[in-house]
Amino acid sequence: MASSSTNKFVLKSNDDVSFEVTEAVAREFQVIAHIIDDDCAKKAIPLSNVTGEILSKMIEYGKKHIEEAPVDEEDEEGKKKLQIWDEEFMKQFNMEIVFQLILASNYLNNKGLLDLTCCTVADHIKDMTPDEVRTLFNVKNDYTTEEEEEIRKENSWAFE
Amino acid sequence: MDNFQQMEKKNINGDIIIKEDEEQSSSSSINGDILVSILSFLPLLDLISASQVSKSWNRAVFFSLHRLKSIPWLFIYNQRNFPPYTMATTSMTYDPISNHWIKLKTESPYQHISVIRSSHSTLLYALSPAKFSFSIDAFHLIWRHVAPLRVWRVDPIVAVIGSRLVIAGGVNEFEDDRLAVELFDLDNGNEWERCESMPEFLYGSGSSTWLSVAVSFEKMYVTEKRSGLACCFDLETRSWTNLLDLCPGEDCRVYSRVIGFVGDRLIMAGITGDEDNPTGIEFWEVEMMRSIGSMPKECFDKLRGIGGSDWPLTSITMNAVGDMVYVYDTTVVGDIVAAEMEDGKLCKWRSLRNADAKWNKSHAVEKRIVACSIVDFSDLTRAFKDNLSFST
Repeated sequence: MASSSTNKFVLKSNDDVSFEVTEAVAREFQVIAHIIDDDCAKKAIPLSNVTGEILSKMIEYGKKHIEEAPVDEEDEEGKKKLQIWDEEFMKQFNMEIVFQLILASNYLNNKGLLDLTCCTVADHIKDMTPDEVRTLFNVKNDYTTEEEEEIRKENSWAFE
Repeated sequence: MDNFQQMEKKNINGDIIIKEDEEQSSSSSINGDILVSILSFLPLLDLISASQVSKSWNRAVFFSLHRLKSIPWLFIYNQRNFPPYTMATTSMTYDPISNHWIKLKTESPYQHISVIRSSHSTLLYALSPAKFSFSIDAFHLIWRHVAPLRVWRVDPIVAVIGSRLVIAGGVNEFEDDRLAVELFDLDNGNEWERCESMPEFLYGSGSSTWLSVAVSFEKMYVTEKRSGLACCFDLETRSWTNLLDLCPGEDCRVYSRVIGFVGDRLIMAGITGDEDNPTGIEFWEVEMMRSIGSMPKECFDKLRGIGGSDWPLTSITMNAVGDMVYVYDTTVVGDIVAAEMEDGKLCKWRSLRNADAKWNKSHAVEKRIVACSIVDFSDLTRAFKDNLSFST
C-alpha cells in the first residue's frame, strides 16, 4: 500500500475539469475521505455539484491547510499565520462565489472552509437592513404588514 | 414566489440542491442548516434584523439561537455611590462569541438601599440592616429581598450554593463570633439559620477583602488570597473541612491568588513576582495543581492599564463561568482580560476595552460592578419582555 504522501487522486468537477491532488489534500474533504476509505476511488472521483472554478479554490484552501498546518495545539503563531491567510483568501471573492463555496464545502464536508465562508457572509450582512438582505439572498418578504409591524415592535423572533 | 416555495420544500432537511437552471443564483440555495450556520456567526443584535427578512429566516434565527452553546456574557453595571443608590440606566455587556460590546438600556433602573457587590461571578447582592437583596438571573432583572442577616456584617463572603444562600465572615468587630456563618433556604425559608463558623485560621482574614470564593453544586471553596490556605464548606453536612495549601510549588511563587470554577474544574489564578513588581498571572487546575496557562505579556500589560506599572498590583478578581474566564485588577482600572478553556488549557486570550468611554475613568459618583452570567435563549426573551433594549 502506498503511503498517503505519494498516493494521488483525481477530482473531477461537473464541467469536466480534472485536478490531481495528494491523498492528504483529498482527505481534507470528508466526503472524499469516505470514498477513499470505501476503496471506491480507483479512477477519477466525479463531483457532480462543484464547478472547476470552485473546486480549484477549494483545493487551494485544502493544500494550504495541509502544508501550513500548525505544528500542535500550542502553535499560536502557526494558527495566526493560517488565519491571516484565510482572511486574504476570502477577500478575492464576490458574494456569489462565496455562496457557491459554502454550498460546495457543505457538500464535500470541510468544516473549516464552511465556517470560514459562513463567517464571511455573516460579516457581509451584519449591518444590512432586512431589505438589503432580501435582495442579496433572493428571498421574498412573506410577512403580512401586521406581522411585520408586530415583529419589529417586539423583536419577537421567539416562537413560544 | 412559486419558485421560492418549491425551493423551500426541497430544502426542508437542509440538503443542498444545486439548481439545474443556470440562471438561478446560488444564493437562493442558502437556507436550512447552512443559513443557521451563517446566522450563528452573527452578533445577537444583527439577528433582530435578520429575523425580519422572512418567515423562514425567522425560523433559522430561532434555530441558530438554540444551537449556541450557552455563552457566558460579561456584564458591567454602574451604580450611584451614595444615596439614593440608583443603578445607571445603561449597562454594558460583552458577548465573547461575537466579540462585541452591547449596550443595555432599561427604562426603570433599580433603586437599591445600599451598594451592590458581586460574588462568584453571577451573584449580585446588597447588604442593609433592613433586608438582604440579591439577584442570580443572567441579566439581573429579578431581585429577591429576604430577611436581614442576624449578624452585623461589613464585608462577608456571599455565595449561592444550590438553593441555599450562604453568608460567612466579614463580621463587624463588635460582634462575638467574627467567623459566623448563616444560611438561608431559598425554596422555603424565611429565616437565617446559623451553622458551623469558619475555621479558626481565618480569624484575621475572614472577609471578602482577603478571601476568594468559588462555588460548585454542593460546596463552597474559600482560600486566603495571600497564603493560599483553603477550606471548603459542604452544604450537606453544613460543616467546614480543611484543604491543602493552594500553592503551585517551589519554583513558582505566587503572592496573591483567586479561585473559580470553569465547568466542574476548580481553577486558580495567581500573581507572580511581588506586589510592587508583579511579573505575570499564572493559572492552574487545583486538583493536580496542573498548569493550564499563563496570561500573555501584552494582555497582562493591558490589565495593568496605562501607567499601571507604577502602582502595586494588590489583588485581581476572576469571574469564571462556563468555559470563559475574565480577570481584572480589583482596584485599578485597566482592561478586563478574557480567555477560553479548551481541552483543559486556557486559550484565545484577549483584552477588552469597553466601548463605553467611561470605562477607564474612575468615576467619583458611580461605582462599577462586574458580573458574568451564562445567557441562554430564555434569558434573552425575558430580557426583551422586560423592555431591556439592546444596541451597539
